[in-house]
Amino acid sequence: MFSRVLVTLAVLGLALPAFAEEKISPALQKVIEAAKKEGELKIQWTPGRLGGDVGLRKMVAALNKRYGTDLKVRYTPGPSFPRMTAKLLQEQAAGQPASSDIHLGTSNHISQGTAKGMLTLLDWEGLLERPNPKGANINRTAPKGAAVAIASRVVGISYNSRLVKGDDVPKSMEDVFKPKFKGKIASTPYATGLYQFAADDMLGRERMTDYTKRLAAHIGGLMLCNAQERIASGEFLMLVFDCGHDDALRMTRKGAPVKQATIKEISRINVMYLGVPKHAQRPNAAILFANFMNTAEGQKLQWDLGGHDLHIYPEANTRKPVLDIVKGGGLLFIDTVERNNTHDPKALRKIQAEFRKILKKGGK
Amino acid sequence: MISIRKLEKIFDSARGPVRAVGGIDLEVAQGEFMVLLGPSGCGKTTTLRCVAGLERPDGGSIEIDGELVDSAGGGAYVPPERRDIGMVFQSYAVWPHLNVFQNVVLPLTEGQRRIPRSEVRDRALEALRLVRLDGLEERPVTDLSGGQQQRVALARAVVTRPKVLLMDEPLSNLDARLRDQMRDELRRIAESVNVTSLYVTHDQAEALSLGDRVCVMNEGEILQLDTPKQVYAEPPNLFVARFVGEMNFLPGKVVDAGRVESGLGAIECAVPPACAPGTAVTLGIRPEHIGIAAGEPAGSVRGQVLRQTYLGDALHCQVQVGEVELTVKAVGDAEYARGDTVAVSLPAKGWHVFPET
Amino acid sequence: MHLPRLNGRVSPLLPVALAPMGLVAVFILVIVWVSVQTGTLGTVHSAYTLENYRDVLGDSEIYDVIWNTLWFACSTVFFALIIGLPIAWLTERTTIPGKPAIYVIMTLGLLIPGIFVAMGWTFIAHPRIGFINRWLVDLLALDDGPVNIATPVGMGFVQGLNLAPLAFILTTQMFRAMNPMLEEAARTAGMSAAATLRRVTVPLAMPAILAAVIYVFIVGIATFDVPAVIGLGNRVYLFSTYLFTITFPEDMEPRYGITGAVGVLMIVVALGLTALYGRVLQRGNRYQVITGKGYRPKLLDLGGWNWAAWAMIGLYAVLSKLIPIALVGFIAFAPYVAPPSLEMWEQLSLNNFHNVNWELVWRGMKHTLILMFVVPLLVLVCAFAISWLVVRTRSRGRYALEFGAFLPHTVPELLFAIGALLVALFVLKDYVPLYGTVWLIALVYVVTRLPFATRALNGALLQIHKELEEAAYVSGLTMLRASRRVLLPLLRPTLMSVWIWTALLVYREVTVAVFLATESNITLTAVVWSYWAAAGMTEASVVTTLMILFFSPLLLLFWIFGRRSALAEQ
Repeated sequence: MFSRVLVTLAVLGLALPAFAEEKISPALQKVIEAAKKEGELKIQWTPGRLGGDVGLRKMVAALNKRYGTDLKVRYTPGPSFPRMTAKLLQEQAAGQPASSDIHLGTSNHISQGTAKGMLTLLDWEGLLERPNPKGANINRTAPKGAAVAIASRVVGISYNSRLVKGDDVPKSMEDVFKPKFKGKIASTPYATGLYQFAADDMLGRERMTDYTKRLAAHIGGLMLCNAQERIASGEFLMLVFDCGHDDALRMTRKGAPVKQATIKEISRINVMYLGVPKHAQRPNAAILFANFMNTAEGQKLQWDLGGHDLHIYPEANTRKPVLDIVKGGGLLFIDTVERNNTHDPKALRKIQAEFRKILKKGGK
Repeated sequence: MISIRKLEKIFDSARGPVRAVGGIDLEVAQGEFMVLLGPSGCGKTTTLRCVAGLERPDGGSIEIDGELVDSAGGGAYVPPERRDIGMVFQSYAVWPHLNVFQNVVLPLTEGQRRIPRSEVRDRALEALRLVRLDGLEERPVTDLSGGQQQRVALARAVVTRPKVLLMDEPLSNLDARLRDQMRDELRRIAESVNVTSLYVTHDQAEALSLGDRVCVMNEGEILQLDTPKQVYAEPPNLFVARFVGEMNFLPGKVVDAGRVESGLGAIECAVPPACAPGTAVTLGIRPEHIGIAAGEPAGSVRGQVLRQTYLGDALHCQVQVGEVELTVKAVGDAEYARGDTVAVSLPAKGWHVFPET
Repeated sequence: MHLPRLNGRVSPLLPVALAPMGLVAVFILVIVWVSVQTGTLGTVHSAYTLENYRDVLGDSEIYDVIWNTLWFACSTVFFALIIGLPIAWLTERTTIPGKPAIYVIMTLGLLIPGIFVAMGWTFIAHPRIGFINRWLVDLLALDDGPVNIATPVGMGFVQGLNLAPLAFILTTQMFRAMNPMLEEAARTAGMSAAATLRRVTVPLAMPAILAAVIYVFIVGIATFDVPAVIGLGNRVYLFSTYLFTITFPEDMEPRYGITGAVGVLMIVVALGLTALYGRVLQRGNRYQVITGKGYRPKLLDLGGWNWAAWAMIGLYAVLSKLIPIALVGFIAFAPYVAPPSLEMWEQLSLNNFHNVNWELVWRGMKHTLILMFVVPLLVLVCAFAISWLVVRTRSRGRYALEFGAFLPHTVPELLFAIGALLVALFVLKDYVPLYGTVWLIALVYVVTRLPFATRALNGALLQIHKELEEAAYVSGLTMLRASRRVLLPLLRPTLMSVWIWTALLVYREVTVAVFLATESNITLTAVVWSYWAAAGMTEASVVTTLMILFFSPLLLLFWIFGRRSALAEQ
């Protein structure tokens, strides 16, 4: 029932977007001034996110132009979201400066960062230039102001469109078990999708445990969501499940044979957040970047370079795929930090750990 | 000048501690040329290295020119670079990456006994002249012959005008002719710079010809310390007698203060008072002290030539006398054939009597 | 115990010699310490327990890992020796032409980072994307690619290609030093050539070969790059990659205790191998085969077989270096990763190079260059101190020093990296801010490169008569001046070659760098790995291509210097 309500809300939210003018508040002005002094933005996250090295450089260039700052980007390719979260937590515990001024993550990682007191709590609504669109179906700020959403990504199955064609393109999560795919498809080492679908109000733990076990025995290996080149190259025929439509989209734009299929049983909108670690060395530059990502200009850059934006904004390109899913009429949830928190994050992580292990061992 | 007291040195070896030097006392006077003579492992080199400061003694003390440079108990220790010494090594130890001049100059420019820059060149050339290497300054030392390398080492050792010159078998790597030449040179150089010398060798000829005094060592002990002449003439014990010069030995038994019974019959000789009649002794006589003449003996002992070795300046004959085989050294141009009968004379004053140990 | 002394003073070199051993001890102890703790380390929540060991040993996964690692290490040894040994024999004991070229192929081969070769081989023989498999599938209408390098044996093959130069270097010396008179004696005693080979040559060579086997095996069990690049994505875990996945799990709470427990197991294995290695070396010394110089072995005339020998060497060069690097280069110019095809060929462009993150590349290069300068310097200082004390003093403590300097030879460097990471995070914390600095990486490199340098310097010091030094002391030079003016100039050829080797091994190293890298100390190889590991295959190939371009002159320099010092030794 709950999911129905959500879907209704989602439709409402998408149907009635509010639009208002962007305005720099005094609080933000202070951040801009401080960021000017900081002069640099140190970023470490997994390659490809937010348009990769190139995208990030273009985004910061636009930011500099918009605010008159002169931030230099210092980007280092980092590990996956959970590993990066662990790294930042570890650095905080050891009294070291954070490796990244910005913590990029989805609900689970932000939730954990908040619980461990790693993220700076900010009054984002007081800072953000762009007013919160009226009637949005999600809170763009995470609870306590620990992070701010920048993009929503539709989760599905990425596949090699040259090797998987026609009827082979999966429509249901059971379609991946075709014998011809055995040993040729992949899942993620962090079991994304699988564990979130195991929530009580979704497909349930029992069903997903069984599914994960069968999947573990069926796949050929593990890959990260952003490693779509491994699908393009044919190393893996598909990724069950991916982290969002954007990864496949970026490959499609490059001319690589990668596409994404959504499945009928269930859908998930993966919301991506930015938070500022307490041990960040340039917190103001980080806040300014998060703010910029929410402006119309930032949203457009995100779409052009990274293939994603936040569906609550009226011009968002993600609105359509989200609507398509809603029309499809399966189970749907928007994976926000709030939702994560109301679903016993500890239990969720336990399920994830269990699924990770199943996938790693190959279902043995 | 050098004063060594109760010097003791113990080395760890795989078979436990070994006493290399066993508490020796030694005084070397100013300007004296002292030779430490002994077989390998007798502790002579260790003693020298202790004087140089390259080894630390486990007991006793060493003074150089009145200054206590090392004392095992008292903790006084002057490192080698601050001792007023020069040293020549067995391996020459000339620095192969430097030329002749640079080898000699290094102690003057980098050492603790540095001298003003302006004097360095003159002093180095003086040292090179002393060892007759002037003109070869720019040669790489590796291009020099062994004898020349040793001269470089010598020049390097004396260039700082040290009070003490230490030499560790400096001639042992040279061939025979060069060795004789260098021996004389060494003596000349040591005298001309009036340095106190401590010289280590296992070659008794070197020791006898070079030393003002010779210190014979074995197993870490001093066996004799005397002038070369005395060492040769009056070895106090069998070891020195065997080690210095050549000697014929035969067992005997003391009859009385003037006679010893042996394989050659009763021999007239001076028996040391310590040897009571009836005790077993070893008799010794040097080959050159035995007389030999062709023909049947008259009043001397009859012998038969077994074989001979021609040495150029002398002739070594193996002569069978009764049951005993003696080595006899004949000078002059006497010649004997194998099987010749000869007259052998054994003068009483040529005999040494050593108690059995 | 007597401390090593010179002239009765405790040598000022002693602290320098002991410093790296202190590090070794600290790294190992911290692994042990962490292995018996659970909870968040360094906080009040941690508690002492044996739970980690129970978890590790109770999990069936560890046994798979051990099994895989054994298979991998054994096949690495097999392939490395089956390639390296014949080539060593060919160059030392036959009249094969072009020996300098063989040396270039084999020595430069060691310096091409294994991660590149592994990346290349993924494109060659991966069950799904390897072009060999793709072609075979098309050709024979198969369902699956028949060749699979994503197995312990397959990865062992790739690692064997990587380590064949090591086997070559370890055994050429043996072939060179083996007294040919021993073989000639056998021949004159009426034994046939085959019998001589079987009864004399092989038994004499055995200790050196065994030593090479154990050495390659040790390197094998700790190799990270090949198993990580090829195995991780295919769920084939070895010790090193297993350690990697538990040290940096896809989880927000790493359990370093488990890492520690696996590390302790690995140390136990390593110590056992050290003992074995020591015994093999001892036996080798007893044979007295390695008597040094003076021999001119009679060379076997290959005659018509020259071409076959060269074909084998050429095939090796092509398989191990050229094809992998060509493929990495190809990917660097391609819009996305795909097997080479005509269609892809038309799409090649310089686009990827326009998008290079130069700031990152320069940063990585800066750290790599700092390490290439600092590490050899520190290694030489410490190795000199150790060698001097070992060779020049008589104290029994010198045996301990020798063992201490040898130990890092057999303990996988991976463990030192983990030890260093744990020390920096949980012991030094922010009191001594070493975490995230190149110095932390430098410390581990110094420790791991020490055995090689110490061994080289021991040999060189033994060649320099100690009287040359003593002559300096009695000439009035202090120890410092004597070293500067006499000893160091004489050691220069050795110091130079150790410097260059150490620098180049630092340049190619990836395992330690990966475990210790943060944004502020990332090295070039770690940049390549970071891209590769997290999806940027194209970027990884681009940076790799740049790296090869930048460092080729350096490799050339090495070759020129290396040859010169090799000539000096003759």
